[in-house]
Amino acid sequence: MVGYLTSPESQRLSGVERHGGGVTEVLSSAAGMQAAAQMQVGGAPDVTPGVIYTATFKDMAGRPQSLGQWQNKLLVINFWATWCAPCKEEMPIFVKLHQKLAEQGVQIVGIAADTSLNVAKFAKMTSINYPLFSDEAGAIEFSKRLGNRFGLLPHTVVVAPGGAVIYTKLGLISEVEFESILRQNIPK
Amino acid sequence: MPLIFSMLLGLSSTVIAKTKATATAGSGATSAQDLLPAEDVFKVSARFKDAKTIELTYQIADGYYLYRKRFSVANETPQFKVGKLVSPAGRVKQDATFGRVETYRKSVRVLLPITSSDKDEGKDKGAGSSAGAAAATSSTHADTANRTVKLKITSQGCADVGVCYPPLQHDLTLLFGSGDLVMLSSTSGIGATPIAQTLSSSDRSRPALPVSPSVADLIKKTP
Repeated sequence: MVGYLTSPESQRLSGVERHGGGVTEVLSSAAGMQAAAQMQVGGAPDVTPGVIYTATFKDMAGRPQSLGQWQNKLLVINFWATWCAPCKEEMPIFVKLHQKLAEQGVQIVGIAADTSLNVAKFAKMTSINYPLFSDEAGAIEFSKRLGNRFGLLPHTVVVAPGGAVIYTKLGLISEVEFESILRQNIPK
Repeated sequence: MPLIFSMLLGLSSTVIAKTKATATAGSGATSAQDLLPAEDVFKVSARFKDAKTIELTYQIADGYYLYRKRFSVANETPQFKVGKLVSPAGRVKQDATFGRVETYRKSVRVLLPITSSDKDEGKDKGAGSSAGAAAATSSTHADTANRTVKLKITSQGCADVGVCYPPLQHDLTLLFGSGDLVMLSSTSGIGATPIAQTLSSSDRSRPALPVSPSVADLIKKTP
């Protein structure tokens, strides 16, 4: 089981992308601060709810799953890969948050830029309690569509019910900050 | 256009979170904004170290690293045999899942043994049938203009700021016999647009040439 990141000092960078058209650039708090800032970076300007909710990926059983089934949820999309060490480091945070907040309308999904075999092996070694999908090329493509210019991992996107992107993060999430963002956007 | 909510709390001035530096200080990226495209971070050059060995040199920008065990080579030309990639020992770091991993910084040279499948180090090929022997002879003496070897070299690396790049792929085409390196192109990540680049190395004693972003003639012959 991958261990937790609990130290504020282990907070990594916050992902920020500046877009034209006046989208606010929001930067995270420095390490050690409580969740002082809401991270808000829009996805690429051409991302519509339709683009998000029609995205389809294969689950561990090989069945296609469309993100549209969670359009009424606060949807957390985490892009990761088994070859990405920082991705694996932060997964326990998603496990914990899914456990805490699933009943309040939060849905976390992990989309791996990886083979289904690798993801299945990883899933066996760990106890991931949310859906894991795999699509080697499709995951990166979708991640880029959501504003991840270089296809870097990990990349996390939060989508409000209805399809608005309200948060993106490139790099490790901070548990305290991220939980705060989710709680503030729990569907009513 | 999706409605985007802005929820900025508690900050009177913008502060960029600094990463926890885990390795060399230097001019590496300190935030996602500073990150470079993979092609600028991981640069490859190639040459024939000797008649049977291709040497690949990776130049790695400060603040980034490559994984030793994440190199792979796919040979797309069955008339050539590519041996196991030889890489030096790297710097050890602990990975939460994989345990001990080795990484490279600044630069690394890896070697690829390569031989023609047509020749068998002086042994008689095609024994067993006259047709087979004729075929082997014919391919051994094949027109050198057609003796290109195509390799896909994959590597993978990360930035100290805590993000990883998708596997980086370089397409390498060599013209055998003359010792020239014909073309090197790189594809950054999966599904990215290939960047065609040209190298020429008619003299093996010259240092390896850096990757050039220009598109030019594919073949430069040895004078």
